[in-house]
Amino acid sequence: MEVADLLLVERCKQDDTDAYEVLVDRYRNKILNYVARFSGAADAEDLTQEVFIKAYLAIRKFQGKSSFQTWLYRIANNVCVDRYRRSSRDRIAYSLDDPVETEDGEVAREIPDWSGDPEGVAQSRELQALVQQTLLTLSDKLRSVVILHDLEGMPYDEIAETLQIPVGTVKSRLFNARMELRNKLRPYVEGQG
Amino acid sequence: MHCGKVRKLLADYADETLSMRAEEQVRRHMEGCRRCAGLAEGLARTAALVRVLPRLETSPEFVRNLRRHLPVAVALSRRTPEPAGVRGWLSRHTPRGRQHYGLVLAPLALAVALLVYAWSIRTAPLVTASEPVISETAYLAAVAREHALYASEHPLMDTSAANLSVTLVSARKDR
Repeated sequence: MEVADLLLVERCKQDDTDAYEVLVDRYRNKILNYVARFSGAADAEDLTQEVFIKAYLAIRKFQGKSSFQTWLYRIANNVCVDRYRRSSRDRIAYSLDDPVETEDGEVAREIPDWSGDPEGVAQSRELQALVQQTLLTLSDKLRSVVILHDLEGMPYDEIAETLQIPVGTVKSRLFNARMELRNKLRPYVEGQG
Repeated sequence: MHCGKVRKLLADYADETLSMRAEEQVRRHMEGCRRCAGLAEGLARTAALVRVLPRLETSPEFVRNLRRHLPVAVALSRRTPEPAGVRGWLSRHTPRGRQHYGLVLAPLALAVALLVYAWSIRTAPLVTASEPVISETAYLAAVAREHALYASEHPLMDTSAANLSVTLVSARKDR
């Protein structure tokens, strides 16, 4: 039977690192995905380590008012925002007409034909790289909401608790984020039909 | 329901989190409003497009690395923070350990030596202008001797002897 997060947290407060490893194992992939999508950083795994280290050091301050997951995502968001601000000066502006950087080098950007093999196209690295780059053009506030909701599948009230904003703000930010993404990815969105 | 209200509900509509009544109202509005229907479709497609991003997994070394880093981070976090200000500066610049006693004692000894030297200078008797080194009589006798010698070597300049005596007398009177 799975031990509840709160029990594990209480054990962590007594310096039980085994209990913390259970929590890490439970949430490491979720946090990695959030961090990777938010920062677009190649060292997303290092940032994830930082999140778990910060969480462990602050675990005595966790009072259980929110879920452990919500608290962990909040730390991840703070780490990402901090990192993103520090590195934003080095970021190079790009155009959606520029070639896309993939693991196999630069690839010319093409509008995919969704009518032919939509699944194959959806899986293409080019499209994934493009969506990731477009996500990075959103502001921190819009990006965090769209990642938490559309990628992490978090409900509105939990996002509100994580980001400490009202539920109405979550909804409006999600709407604005999707509108901005739709405008920037218009050829791809329309190509889907 | 007007377009503005429908647009506020579109995120909920796409996520199917609206009440049945609100969902029905939005659906009915969109049957007659192509713009809102197009927008709803575009937003739903955008959300679907974002989901093409693959799920990532941590490397097998992740937990091992964390196990290695965590004790270091804990140890660093439990170090007593150094005091701020002058106390902080002193604690940062004070050598620690027996092998560094010389570094503390040498400047201390130098400082004591400088203090002793300064004190000895202050307490030593100073020669001032008001205290003549020789008596006035001896001084005048020396001047007269010098003058006599000079006058014997330069007889034509002897008139200065009278002036000298006058000068000395008037100087005495001035006192």
